[in-house]
Amino acid sequence: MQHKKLSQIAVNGLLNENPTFRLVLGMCPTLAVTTSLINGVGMGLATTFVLFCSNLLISLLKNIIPDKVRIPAFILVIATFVTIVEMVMNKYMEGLYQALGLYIPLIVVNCIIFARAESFASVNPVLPSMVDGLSMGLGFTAALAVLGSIRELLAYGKLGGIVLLGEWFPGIAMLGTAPGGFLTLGLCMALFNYVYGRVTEARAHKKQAKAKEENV
Amino acid sequence: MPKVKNEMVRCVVVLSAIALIAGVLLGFFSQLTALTEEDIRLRTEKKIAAIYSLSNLTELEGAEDDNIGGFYKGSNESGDVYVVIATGAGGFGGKVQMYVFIQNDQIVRLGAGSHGETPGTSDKAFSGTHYQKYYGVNILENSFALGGEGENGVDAMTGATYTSTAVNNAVNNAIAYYRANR
Repeated sequence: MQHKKLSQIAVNGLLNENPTFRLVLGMCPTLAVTTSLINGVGMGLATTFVLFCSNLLISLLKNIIPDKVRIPAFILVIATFVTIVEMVMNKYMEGLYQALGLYIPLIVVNCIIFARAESFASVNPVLPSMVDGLSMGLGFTAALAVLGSIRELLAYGKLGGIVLLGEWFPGIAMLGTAPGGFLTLGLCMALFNYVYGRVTEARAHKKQAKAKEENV
Repeated sequence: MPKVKNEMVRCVVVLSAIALIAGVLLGFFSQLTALTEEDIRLRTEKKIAAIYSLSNLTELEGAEDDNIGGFYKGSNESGDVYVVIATGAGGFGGKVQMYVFIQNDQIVRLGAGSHGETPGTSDKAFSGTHYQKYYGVNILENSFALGGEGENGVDAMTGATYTSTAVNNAVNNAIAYYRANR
């Protein structure tokens, strides 16, 4: 039972409640840093680390933190982990640190992290909170990777910094800008939700048919 | 009343404890990830190499100046090249750092360092088209004037006037330092 619940939580973050395509959370970094695959993955992994650690700690401390000061306490915990990520990135990943710039400290106010702390980690045990943080983070990373890949490929003809489309490809420069980010996000979100809707519908039909068969 | 007081004390104690632990943790990581002088030197040299390929790069001793972040000398097939890393005020996001490469008393290459300018909007002021305006002018006799006429007159890039001003100020600071310390 516990195993089933954990796997359900893991799938939730990646698909059913994907923070970018289903919950539409964390739009600021999503639009700002997905100009390339590496930037998208870098931001996604940094957010995953913060989500995982803050969910873990908040779940551990949920009975100690008084309800009245839970929001400043959560912010304090999240800001600590974000600052650690920023310091480590500056030391060991200078290129990525320069590319992400201001958006690293802004992870503190990323609503995905705060939403999971408030709605999940503060009311659930440690293990499910850890799984939730990890799956939400990986769902966010996957979404940023998809958006970053599409924008980098179509705007600059590159993927992960490697030139894939030759000089014949003129590049759609607009996709590298903020309006291009909105456009790509909208199209990806529509496609994701269309496919998700069809799959869910098919599953429901299958379940109904099976139930009918059993009744007969 | 005592219950309310107790709750307040509990809130203060819990928040203080979390803040204290966070402070200790951040202090530890700050020590662990602090950049050494060697790290900074390597990064500067890497940045210089990314803008303009030079051999025998050495750091030079120069006078202390708040606007100068480094003074280097290297060489290529045409002779010695001086590199002045200078900042200029007036940008939209504060000071702008520029790498100024000087050979035979003329600027031969410019490159952007750290700055807080808006990506996209400021790109024109950091473009080769804008940098070209500074190349090939004898800098012992001239400083650059934004909007001025003649060979030392530089037009600001439309839509990036603040950034152009900061770039121009950085270049002039680099020139002044080069004249005094070469």
